[in-house]
Amino acid sequence: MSNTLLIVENLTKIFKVGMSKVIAVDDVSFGIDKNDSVSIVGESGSGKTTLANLILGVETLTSGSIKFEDKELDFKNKELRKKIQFVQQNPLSSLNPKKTIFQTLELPLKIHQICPKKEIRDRVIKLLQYVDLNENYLERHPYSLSGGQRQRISIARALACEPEIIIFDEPTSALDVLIQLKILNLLAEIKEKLNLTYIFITHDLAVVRNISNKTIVMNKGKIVEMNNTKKVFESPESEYTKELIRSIPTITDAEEKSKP
Amino acid sequence: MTLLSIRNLEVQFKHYEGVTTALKKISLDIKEGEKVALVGESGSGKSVTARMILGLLSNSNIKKNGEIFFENIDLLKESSSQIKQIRGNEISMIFQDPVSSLNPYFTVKKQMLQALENHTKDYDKNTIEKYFVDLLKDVKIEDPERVLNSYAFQLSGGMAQRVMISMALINNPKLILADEPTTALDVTVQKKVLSIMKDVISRKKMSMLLISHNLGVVREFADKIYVIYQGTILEEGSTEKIFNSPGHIYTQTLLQAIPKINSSKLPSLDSENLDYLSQPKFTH
Amino acid sequence: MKIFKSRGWYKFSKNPLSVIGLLIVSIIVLMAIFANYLTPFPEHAGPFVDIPNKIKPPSSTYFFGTDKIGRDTFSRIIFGYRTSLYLGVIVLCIAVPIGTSLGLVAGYFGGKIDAIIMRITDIFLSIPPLVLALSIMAFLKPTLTNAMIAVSMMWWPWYTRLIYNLTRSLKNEGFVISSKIVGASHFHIIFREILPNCSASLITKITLDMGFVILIGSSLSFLGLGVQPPTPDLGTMVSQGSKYLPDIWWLSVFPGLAILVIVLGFNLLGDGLKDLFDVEI
Repeated sequence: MSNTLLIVENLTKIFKVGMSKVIAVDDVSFGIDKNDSVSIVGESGSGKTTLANLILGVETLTSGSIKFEDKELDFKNKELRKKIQFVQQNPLSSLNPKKTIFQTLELPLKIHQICPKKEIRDRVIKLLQYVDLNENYLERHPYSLSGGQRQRISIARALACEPEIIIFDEPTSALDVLIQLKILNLLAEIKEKLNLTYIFITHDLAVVRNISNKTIVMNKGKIVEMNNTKKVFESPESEYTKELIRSIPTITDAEEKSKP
Repeated sequence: MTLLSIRNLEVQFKHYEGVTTALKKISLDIKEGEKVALVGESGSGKSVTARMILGLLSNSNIKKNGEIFFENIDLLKESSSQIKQIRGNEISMIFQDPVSSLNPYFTVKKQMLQALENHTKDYDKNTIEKYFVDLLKDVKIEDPERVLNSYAFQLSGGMAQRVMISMALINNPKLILADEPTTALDVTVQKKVLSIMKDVISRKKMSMLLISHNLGVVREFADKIYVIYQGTILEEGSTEKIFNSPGHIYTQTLLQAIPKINSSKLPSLDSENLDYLSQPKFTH
Repeated sequence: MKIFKSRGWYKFSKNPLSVIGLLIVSIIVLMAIFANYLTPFPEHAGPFVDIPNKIKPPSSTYFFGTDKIGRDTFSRIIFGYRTSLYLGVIVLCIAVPIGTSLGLVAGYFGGKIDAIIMRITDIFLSIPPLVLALSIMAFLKPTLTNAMIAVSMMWWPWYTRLIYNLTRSLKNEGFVISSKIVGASHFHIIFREILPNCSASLITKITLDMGFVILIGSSLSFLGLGVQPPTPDLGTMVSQGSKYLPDIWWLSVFPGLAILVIVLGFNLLGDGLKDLFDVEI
């Protein structure tokens, strides 16, 4: 019985822009195992965001397949929808400014009928507890929260559906260093507690190095390197990966020396 | 020779809930030819500092105290027409997002002309294009003629930022302020742009105030660093001293908290949630 | 009284003109609602004749003078405000839901639905508003109800356009995409995620529009196509009074000024809201 949760095979996405075509994702194949923490890295135009959107069903694929637990991903299937959830980059725009935190968090519970109506409030409070917040936040609005708090709410919302996989798009890029560390530690804790699988889409290589066991490097729509994170950083094979690692601004000499 | 000297600058904003003190009596010096970095997180007041130097904040809700001396002129006491003279001419600025800082309606050449004409009508129309081409070559743009005739949306992020840098150089300023100049750029592009900035500034013997939250960028670029937190400068020293032996607990915590590329675990902090302001400023 | 301590009031009251607009609108609305108690001669608003007191100039009894059958102009103006406000409210109650729903649907679904709805909207928008209203009135009997229908028909497209543009940009906001990923239905996304975020623009536009609807309504009745006598109406009063200019000036000047004041009031209030919410209409 394989441990592989998600299999992507020959996935391609082509956008029509005016008279020309843009191949955003070019024949990409990889697998993600249960409890993996995979980072997909690349610069702008690498296709990493489009790839995430394809897995989430926000974009439709041009060719190839995405299989979850050996079944083709069908986004009209509500059961399947629950299993893959998403946390966005920009904490401010990911929460409806007109809704209270309670209203935002109860939505997935209601849609998927995760629990009976009278238990919803308790469930929401439990979700807040996973992200180290309490019931005082229920009636608040996003504008009164800090970036770190909003990001926690986004994470709580992703947990509401009891997913198997959570995809994070630059989850901490908009946050200050100290808050970033807290949130990353929180994510590690939740992953452990709830037996989750993570996919990170990011350009921050130092974060990748610290939190993921597998790294996929993308450039211009193609995968140029894919391996255990340790290997990718210590002995990268592709020239592009080497250049990427060399460009990271480091703060210690030891890090500089470790570059390829 | 000290070019810019901020002395006990205090800035308060009046708004609905009362008064917020954005800067609490900060002092900062930049010498000729020096590259100084002002490092801090969001809400630290670093961007306010840059905008106060150039008089870019509108006046109605601001209370200010202290002095900003630029070559012995107190910029805070100057009239707005005199500040306009200095702004863009002696002191110029580079902003974070190059594509939105450039006017989408005009070509690069037109905007460079505008930047020039704001300060002098006295240039030779025949040689001015060559001057612009040379400036673009200075920032390592390989096809300067094409770029001169392009619009902002036709340029990549890195290209647009290089154009911004060359526009900042047009009137041969003595000081350049750069507010998060590479934050919006890809990491490989960032490396190139930083090295271009360093090269051009050293060659032309200019000074720079770099505002950033990215300690890695600052380490590669600056000679001297000021660490600012909630409107107060907590540490001041040469780049080497700050990174090798940080004196203030806030600086130490920041440096610890940044993920390192030679470690497969998240950093752990010696101490957390401290009242950083209770420790006085550390000067190396 | 809590609203006066809020952040919104702080910002709104910084512009004295906005506060003046709010005052004008509030006073007029209150006067119109309580017209029966506040006017000196409420019975003059109906069928009433008092020939001995006809064509009297403004005095302390008749603030704005009387007309050719002895009715008090001031009282009739207050009741005329009632008619104007009634027209405005009904027209917007018809136009806003229709226009908003069409805009939401067109903006959200895109494609063919978008094309059909927006082309129809464009057609309506390309006809000069007054011409459209007049054409419709040419087929219908001149009554208040029919005037309201005519004005509604020319008003809904503006809301479609506004909401369409808002929907198109909100569609790509993080929280809308998050709702999709969480599994929300189209209905939920359109009416619970997108529409509430249009409220600021809607409130502002509705306020500004009240003034213009009243102006158009008055224009229609000026042309004899709206409310029929003896119901007091500002446009009709201006039209009938204009025959007697310049000697019996109070018959048309005061109703004309009344129209100006109410339109000005709504404009100032609407501009104040526009600054407060910081929206583009």
